[in-house]
Amino acid sequence: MATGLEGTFKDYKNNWSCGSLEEWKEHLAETETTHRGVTKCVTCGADVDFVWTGKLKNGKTYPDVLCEECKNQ
Amino acid sequence: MTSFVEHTPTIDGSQVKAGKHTGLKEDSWINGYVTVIKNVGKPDEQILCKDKHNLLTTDGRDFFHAQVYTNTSAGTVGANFIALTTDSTGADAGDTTLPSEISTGGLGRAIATTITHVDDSNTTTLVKTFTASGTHTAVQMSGTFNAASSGILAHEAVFTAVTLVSSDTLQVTWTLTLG
Repeated sequence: MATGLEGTFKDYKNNWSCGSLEEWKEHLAETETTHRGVTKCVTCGADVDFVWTGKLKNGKTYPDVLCEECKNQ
Repeated sequence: MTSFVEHTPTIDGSQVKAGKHTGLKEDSWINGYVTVIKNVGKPDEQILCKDKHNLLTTDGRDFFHAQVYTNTSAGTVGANFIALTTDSTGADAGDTTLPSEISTGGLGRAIATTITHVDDSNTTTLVKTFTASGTHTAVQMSGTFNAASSGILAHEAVFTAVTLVSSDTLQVTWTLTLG
């Protein structure tokens, strides 16, 4: 269990925190994290429920995801 | 309490002073950062504010406590509706509504289309891209609510005033931390 995390943005799994959104984005790019939620498919705009795990390289705090139909094309 | 002045470059290279806003409070447990971009991905893309600290309203704080601690029945929808206004009076922790909230022309309050949380972290992101269907002059503040109408205003943030004409887009991203 992570302890002593004092930054505004906290990753309890990796015992890491930081004080700025820029640093948080860098952390998401360098560390594998799991994101879950709802969004729109970046290709067709359909609603997507997703669980995405990986290193987030798009400079955002959330992944761009595809719906199953677009993924299979 | 933190007060600051934001200087944001415009597309013609000049600097726009967003102004001093009193009542913006740092909070080590619930924070929000707002990014607002006009016409993302288009040649005239304009960043109106980037990762700007928001204000947590008094009612918003009470709402979070109720959701997490004091409710004795199932919770309600989260504060994931995003609203906009042309009001220029600034964010205020005492606000319970977004003054002069826009309800027409494509900029009416809407649930975020991206709502995502990073597992084992304290961070959630809300994103909504509005598309104007008319002209809106000096859009300059956003808020989050827990309902499509009325509801509780949880967060507020001011950004550089922008005018939108029909088909312009405005992407509003709230990155929120709790815990």
